[in-house]
Amino acid sequence: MLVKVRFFASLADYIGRPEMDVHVSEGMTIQGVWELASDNKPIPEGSLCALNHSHVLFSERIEKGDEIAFFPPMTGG
Amino acid sequence: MYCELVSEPLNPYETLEQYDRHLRSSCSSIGASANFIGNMRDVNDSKKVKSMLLEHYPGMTEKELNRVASDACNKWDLVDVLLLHRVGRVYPNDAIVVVGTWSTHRADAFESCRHIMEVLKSDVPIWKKEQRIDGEHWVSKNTKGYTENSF
Repeated sequence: MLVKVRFFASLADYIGRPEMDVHVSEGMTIQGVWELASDNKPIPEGSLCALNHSHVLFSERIEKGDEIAFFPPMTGG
Repeated sequence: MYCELVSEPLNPYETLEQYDRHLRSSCSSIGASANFIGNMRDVNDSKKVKSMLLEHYPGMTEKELNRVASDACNKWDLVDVLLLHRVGRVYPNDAIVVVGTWSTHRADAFESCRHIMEVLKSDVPIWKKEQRIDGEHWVSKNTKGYTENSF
């Protein structure tokens, strides 16, 4: 199944692109999505993730059509 | 409650005054209001900063701004909350964030205003990229605003 993966701020630079569509197996965790999308690059310390615009843990499981985002700690305000 | 991501320069005092006037036109029980305005500094880690790009995650950032303000409304007895955040290119002295809280008594206004700022910094997906003389750099973490014994 296909999911959209997005990267923000320094993680977009680290991966080399801001987004991609990735073929994944159903029930895969977000950790697994990172490994596929990043070609097994290490996750920079402190990185966070979101599923369909909500903060989640890397252990969260995904479903078809989900949007997954990876980003560094927030620095707004 | 009103929250917005803004891509044009903010006029914080004018906006707060207008919002305050509008609130008081229909409510006379507001005994306290607290405001916070965050501005861009031209120095970070002893390095001169010329400008900053504020990147956000369209869809999620708006959702999180509203959640932060809504949580504050549930936790404190508030009449209203105003929360504005800049995105895009900002320059030294530009306002980056504006928080306004209105309540009957001062504790609710003070505490909720501070809480909104602290949670915003850790939960709302916005990232700063500094433009310095030596190039562009992502800010890796926010400076600590408070210590345990700050007041």
